[in-house]
Amino acid sequence: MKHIIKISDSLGNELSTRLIIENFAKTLTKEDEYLFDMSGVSFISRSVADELFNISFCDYHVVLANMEPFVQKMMNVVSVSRFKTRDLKQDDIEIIHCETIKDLSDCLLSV
Amino acid sequence: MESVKVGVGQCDSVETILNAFFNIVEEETKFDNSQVNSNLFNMLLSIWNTKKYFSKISIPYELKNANDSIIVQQLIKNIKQFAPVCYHSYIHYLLGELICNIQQHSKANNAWVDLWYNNALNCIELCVVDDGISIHGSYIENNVYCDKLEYGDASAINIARCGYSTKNRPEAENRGFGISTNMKIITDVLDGVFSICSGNALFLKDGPKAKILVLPKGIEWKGTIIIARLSLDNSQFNMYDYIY
Repeated sequence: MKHIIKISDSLGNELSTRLIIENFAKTLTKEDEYLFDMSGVSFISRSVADELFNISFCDYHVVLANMEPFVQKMMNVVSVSRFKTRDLKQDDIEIIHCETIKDLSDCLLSV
Repeated sequence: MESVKVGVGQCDSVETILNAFFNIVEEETKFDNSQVNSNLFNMLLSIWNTKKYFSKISIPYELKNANDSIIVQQLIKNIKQFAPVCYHSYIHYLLGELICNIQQHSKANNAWVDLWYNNALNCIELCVVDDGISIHGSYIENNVYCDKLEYGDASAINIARCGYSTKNRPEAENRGFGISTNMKIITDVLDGVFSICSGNALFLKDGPKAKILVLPKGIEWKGTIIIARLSLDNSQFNMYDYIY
């Protein structure tokens, strides 16, 4: 069965956190096909874009349509980074052990 | 200093503010005050305040059943009148990512978010607090990167700021951008300050300078506090230039 869902009506115009998409995904079924009409959604965070990517390309039959430019931009950022290996490395950083309150105070004032 | 606050009345001294904060925490959420050595922690924050890293008031809110989009919209409603339009999406993005981290990783019962405009410095300052399992606790709980946690909370903050997420999918390292990206944008692009206090460690980044302090015995926050300040002076700012 095919469904068209207007996301701005269901979730709002500005989508900030992953949880809102995770919760929404629980209402979908893997057998059905969905078209998410994204018109009217003016902002999505990177987390939201990532979760939309998960459900549209990995978990469910979902197609996103009518994305506003900034929404499309965020989706592009996520889809590109999903196929790149991320080079995680720890920068050198000073770790200072403050034994006393005075040590701590001195450190804070020296930043 | 003039400030715009959402939800709580004006306060004009550090002491009043900290007392208000801890009273709110205690009254509205039945916060277990034994979690924190208040005098020492207040002292820490007072010292902090002299450097203007920490300023006024907090809003408690219920994490459970919270509609995060509404929370974020309420928080930024008043700020939008002070921040140039080019910042609006970014403020939304920043708060969304930080609140998302609490919901996804902290296992907190309570969280408090405060956002205000600092008129004197033309900047936005924010404080996001939770009473969860701390960043270190989240790595331990998920049994990931435990080999990188030699210095406990300090190591945990260090790898979190570098983008090590507890929840990556096996096929893609698609998480861990919340803290790392925002920290870079705030300190490298927006001439700001980004600080994390989690457990007994405190991370401070002011422009290119960064350090992690292991706090003296007896000073710790059982949870995570993020405090940041970002300048509103960059009229050409476009967040999408820095998100990758």
